[in-house]
Amino acid sequence: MENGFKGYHPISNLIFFLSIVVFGMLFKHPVTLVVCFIAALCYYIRLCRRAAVKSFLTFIFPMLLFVLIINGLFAHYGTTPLLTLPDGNKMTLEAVVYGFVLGVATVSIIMWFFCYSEVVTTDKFMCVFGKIMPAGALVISMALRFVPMYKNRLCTITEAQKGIGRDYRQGNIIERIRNGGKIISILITWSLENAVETSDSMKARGYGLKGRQSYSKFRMSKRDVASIVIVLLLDVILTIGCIKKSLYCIYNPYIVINPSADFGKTYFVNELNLTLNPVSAFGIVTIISFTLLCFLPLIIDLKEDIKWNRLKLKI
Amino acid sequence: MEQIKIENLSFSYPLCEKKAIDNISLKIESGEFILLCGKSGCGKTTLLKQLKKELAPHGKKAGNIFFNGKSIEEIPLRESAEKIGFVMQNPDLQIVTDKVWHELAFGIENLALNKDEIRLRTAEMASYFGIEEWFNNKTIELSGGQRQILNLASVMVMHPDVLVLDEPTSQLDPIAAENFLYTIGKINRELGTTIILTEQRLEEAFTYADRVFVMDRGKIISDLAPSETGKELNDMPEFLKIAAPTAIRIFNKIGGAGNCPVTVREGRNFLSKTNHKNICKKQEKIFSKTNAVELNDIYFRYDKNGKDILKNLSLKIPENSFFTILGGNGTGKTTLLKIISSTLLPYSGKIKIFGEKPKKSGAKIASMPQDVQTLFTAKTVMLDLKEVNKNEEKIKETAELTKITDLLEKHPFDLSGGEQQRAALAKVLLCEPKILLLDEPTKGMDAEFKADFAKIIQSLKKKNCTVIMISHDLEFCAKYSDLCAMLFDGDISACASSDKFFSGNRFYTTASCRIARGIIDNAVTDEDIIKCVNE
Repeated sequence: MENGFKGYHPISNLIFFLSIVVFGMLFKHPVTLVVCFIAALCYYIRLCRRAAVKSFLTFIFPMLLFVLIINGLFAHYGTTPLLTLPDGNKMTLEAVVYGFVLGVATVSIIMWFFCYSEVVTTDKFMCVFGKIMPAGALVISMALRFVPMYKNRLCTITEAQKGIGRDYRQGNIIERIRNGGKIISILITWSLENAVETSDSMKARGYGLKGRQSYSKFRMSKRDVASIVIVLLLDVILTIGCIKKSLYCIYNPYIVINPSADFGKTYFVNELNLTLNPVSAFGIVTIISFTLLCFLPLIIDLKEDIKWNRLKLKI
Repeated sequence: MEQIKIENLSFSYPLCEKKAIDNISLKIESGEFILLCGKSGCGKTTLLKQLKKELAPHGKKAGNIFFNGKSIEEIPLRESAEKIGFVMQNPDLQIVTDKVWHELAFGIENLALNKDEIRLRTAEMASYFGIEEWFNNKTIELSGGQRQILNLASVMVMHPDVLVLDEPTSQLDPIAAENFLYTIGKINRELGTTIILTEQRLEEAFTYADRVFVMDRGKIISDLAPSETGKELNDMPEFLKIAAPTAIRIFNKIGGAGNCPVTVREGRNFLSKTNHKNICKKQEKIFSKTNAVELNDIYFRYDKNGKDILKNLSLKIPENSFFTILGGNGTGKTTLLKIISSTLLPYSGKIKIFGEKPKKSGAKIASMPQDVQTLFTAKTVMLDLKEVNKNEEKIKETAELTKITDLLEKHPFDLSGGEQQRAALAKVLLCEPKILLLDEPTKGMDAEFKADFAKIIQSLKKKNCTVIMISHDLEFCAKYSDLCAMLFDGDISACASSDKFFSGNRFYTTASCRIARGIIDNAVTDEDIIKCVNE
């Protein structure tokens, strides 16, 4: 299960996802949007397979359409009317296109978050968090244990009460609320009573001594360092790209793609108020960097797959 | 030099006249296995906690405890945490973190060792205790036995010189308990760690111990090797006469001479040399013809696609009997109980309560859960009881039966474990059930209370109540239960009167039966054996 990019060090994973989310939101260029969307979808499908396809069809794609339609129907900025809606408002090209941009960006980010929750398990998160805040990490680890434990206890209590003829799901709403309160009160008394023993067990094992370490079972290897360096390098290029506005685009009041340049040919589509400037040299560098960043986990995974296949052939 | 030396130690809790520990002096050598036994509430836990100053309760203390020649007060906290390991009763409550590997590392994280050392030690412990397979699991998913082994491992990871265990097996089933005691024995033998253990289940613990301390009312009244302790049994307090290993009990009741047997093997040797009858004759028990519960071809599963927990299960439980369901963990015992109480419904098969459908029969079924604290809802025991039954007469009567008359004005959570169990039983009884379901009631009970508990059940039977119990406690079932059924692989694989059930089994049976096998046939309890030898 823990192969490819998923098997990399938590810090490497986290830096990647942080970068992808930040730059995925900053860039509004059509090329980067499409690249980001495809990469997210591919990686999501690779991680979750069938479940990913299912969630794409039932949730992600409808969401994309929803954003597109809502923005197209209810936003009326822009200068290029396409048709007049029954309520007299105009539907504009700018609103539809921007709805599409917004939809794709949102959906891509959501898919990256799905990937994140698949790749960065609680163990990995705790490892990074523990380095920043050791005490907080312990609290979270305890909390993660408490949630299912209290759920179990609540179940035990309801069943026990049912066993002596007290079914807490009976009666009208007021009775039910009162009964619910009673169950919570048992849960709290019981848990507080039990917490004393847990704290004894912590004390007995030296909790509270000075200089507590936060241990994690992950170890940084060369490939982890390499991947971090690569991501950081790409981040630097992309940041410069952002500052230099090399992928500058606007969608309101009219659409302009790429910053205006002194060289190359600029296309105007007059009836759509559309300006297409040529891509600058640094713009190309930025796009390539962004593509590399997006596909990094897939490249790592594929490299491993190919290696495995080769090894298999040798046997 | 002795590793632990206690000199004239006395201790009393605040606002309490009585001394919880009364002038105790003792010496423990490095590498010894000490068994400390006493009935619940005699001060065992208080004494153990004095050895670990982080856990020592507040109160008035006199006398001294020395650890490796140094007074325990002067030992720095770090050394105390590291050198004296402490494992408590409840496996669930000692676990702190959510993952097994993190739990193992918790202690050494606190000691601020470096990363590589932590890595090495957790790896080492995981292999020694056989934890590798569930090393990456969540702690919440473990079974009780696994949890207690994890607790032990996460104490051992700190490399303690002394391991103190306070009734560590009381919440475990017999197989997990035996496994746990075996592991402690292994630690003692292979690592030379000093062990100080308190136990209710003395049958196995006696075979591991070098010395047995017997404690009564805050005093240590005997400090001898196990077989010597067995020899002096007649001078020991009442609880030990009931709780001591079977071989010792038989030896004393018969009035044997020479070395006192402790293990089953020694018991067999001893018994074969006595004059005895070869067959233990017993009266056939007669049961009522009407069935309180009748199950026909029951199938049950939790998920539509899951596997069958119960399959093709048929069972008849006669009216006014004390019926026991035995079986290993995860065989579906608790599920079966829930089916009888109609909390769960089978997807195929019929249930009849007193010959009718459960809803029609109107017979009250009450059940007592394993965690009795889940029953208490009110501020005092009295209010709690009133909640289920307003009749003061009945409350008084039940309170007397369960011996909680003095406790009625206390808060249920201020009671000790045994008292809580009694109060819970009272609450369940006040529902006036025709059928009473008990889920492992003898877990954590001391021997004396078990006998009391059996008496309560006998008196219920006289009041026309059918008692159905799940248990792991073979000795208790053999002694008091009328009928036993063994659940295996979702089905009843054997059902017979207790005598026949246990004398037919070879492994899954009482220690008495194992001692008497081939020497006195049909003997199941120590009383059977004693009867056959004395006649």
